[in-house]
Amino acid sequence: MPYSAEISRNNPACFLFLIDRSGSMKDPISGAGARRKADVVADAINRLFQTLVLRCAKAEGVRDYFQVGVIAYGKEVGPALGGVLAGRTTVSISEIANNPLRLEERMKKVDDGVGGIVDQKILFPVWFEPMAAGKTPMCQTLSLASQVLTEMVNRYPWSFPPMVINISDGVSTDGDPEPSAEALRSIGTGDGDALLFNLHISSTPANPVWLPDSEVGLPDDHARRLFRMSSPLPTFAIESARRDGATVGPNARGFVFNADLVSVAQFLTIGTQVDPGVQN
Amino acid sequence: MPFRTRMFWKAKSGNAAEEYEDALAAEAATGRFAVADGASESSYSGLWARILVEEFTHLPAGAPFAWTEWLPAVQARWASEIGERPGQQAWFVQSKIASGSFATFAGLSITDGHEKRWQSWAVGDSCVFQIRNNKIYNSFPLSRSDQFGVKPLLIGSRSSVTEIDQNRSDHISGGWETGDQFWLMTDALSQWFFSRNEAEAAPVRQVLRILAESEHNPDSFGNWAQKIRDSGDLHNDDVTLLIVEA
Repeated sequence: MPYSAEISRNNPACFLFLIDRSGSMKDPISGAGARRKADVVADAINRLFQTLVLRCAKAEGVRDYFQVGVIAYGKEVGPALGGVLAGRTTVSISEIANNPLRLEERMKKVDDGVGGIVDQKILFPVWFEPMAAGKTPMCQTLSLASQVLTEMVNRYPWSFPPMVINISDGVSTDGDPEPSAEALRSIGTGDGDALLFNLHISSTPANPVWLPDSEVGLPDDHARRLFRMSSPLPTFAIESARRDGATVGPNARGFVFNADLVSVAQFLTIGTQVDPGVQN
Repeated sequence: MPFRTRMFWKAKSGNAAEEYEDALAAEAATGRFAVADGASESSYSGLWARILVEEFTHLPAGAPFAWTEWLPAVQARWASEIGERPGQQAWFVQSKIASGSFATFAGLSITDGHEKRWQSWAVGDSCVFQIRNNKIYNSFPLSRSDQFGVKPLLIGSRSSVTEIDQNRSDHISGGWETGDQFWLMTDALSQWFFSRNEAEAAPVRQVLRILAESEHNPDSFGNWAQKIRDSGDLHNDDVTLLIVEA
């Protein structure tokens, strides 16, 4: 059965994030007051990296269950981690853990254990900075992602298939990305083909279309194209989405259109909900 | 009467022995026995599992048990042992400690007075089996192989004791006869045990054969666990078996 390889240090899972940094990402996202799309996405990515690190952190250190990469596209297309990780297309989760750009102190509301809520100071590590300039060269980005994935599957031919999450607010400006997406989805390991999930975020207040199972009823050509570019959700992701309370059909694809603030985080959780050692 | 106990464990394949995060403890003199399974996503969960089983088995024989009385001191011991670790800790270690460690747990108390009684307290999918005439006579808290999921209920080292007491924990009591055995297992072996039993494959006899071999060869249990992992019948996870002969 595909998508059942155990995730271990010998066979890590790979997550590759493709992040739109085009000029329009400085506009506010729907459903979040005045927060810019670029800031919301950067926050969600940083929070997700933190979660991934914590899932691998043990008393003796961080176990390399995951390989992670970020490619940003806008004025330029390329790897987007900073500091000592700058220029690297993929890094291990322990390198992520040990090399945030900085640690911010933020306040978080937590349960005080006796029925109340208190403010607790928490450390918020930052790896990925928001930026917004240039166009949306999605074809070039998907081609670069395919190169990165090819290297990954050559290194780990029996690993859980790589997962690619593309987050964008616009239409590709360098051609039809469908063929590039298809090429990317055909790269695989002995455990199945790579998964491509697309998250389209919106500035206009419209109801998000959440994990649809058909392109019928999608609002426009762009939405239908993104649907066709997205992988059908494998069982683990369908179950993860249902645990999250989503209504998901058996033919659902990893695609959200007009995502608002809440959908961004939810979508990232569902797309990355694979656990080291419990995939049997 | 003194209870004879035997203990078997094997770390998850691909992990070193020191990365084993289950725990087991037995106090034959007080009739207290326990297994626990530290959740692999939390830090110091092996330590937490060990503290839980040690503290449970150190309780006096036959003493009444209440989570709300017992757990706060156990959580305090975890906090103090974690606090004693030296050095400046990385952000992720600080975060992990702040959210606490988690484990499933099954504790057993057997009394042999004018009445032969046993009681068990559990959270999650670590299981206690009462074995009679080489068959499963009773099981607790689960009873079928399809009851195991990826998110079992857990005891947290910083979680609300009231919440654990009211919503997560389970309790059972019953009688026992001379010749009964109690087998305590963490989830992977428990699930295998149920599924072999559902297939009428006499798992008790199968395990007893392996244990008989282990009298001569201490590696028998570990080799067997690895073999059924390799065949896909047993989930790759830490494996723990504590046998109490009543």
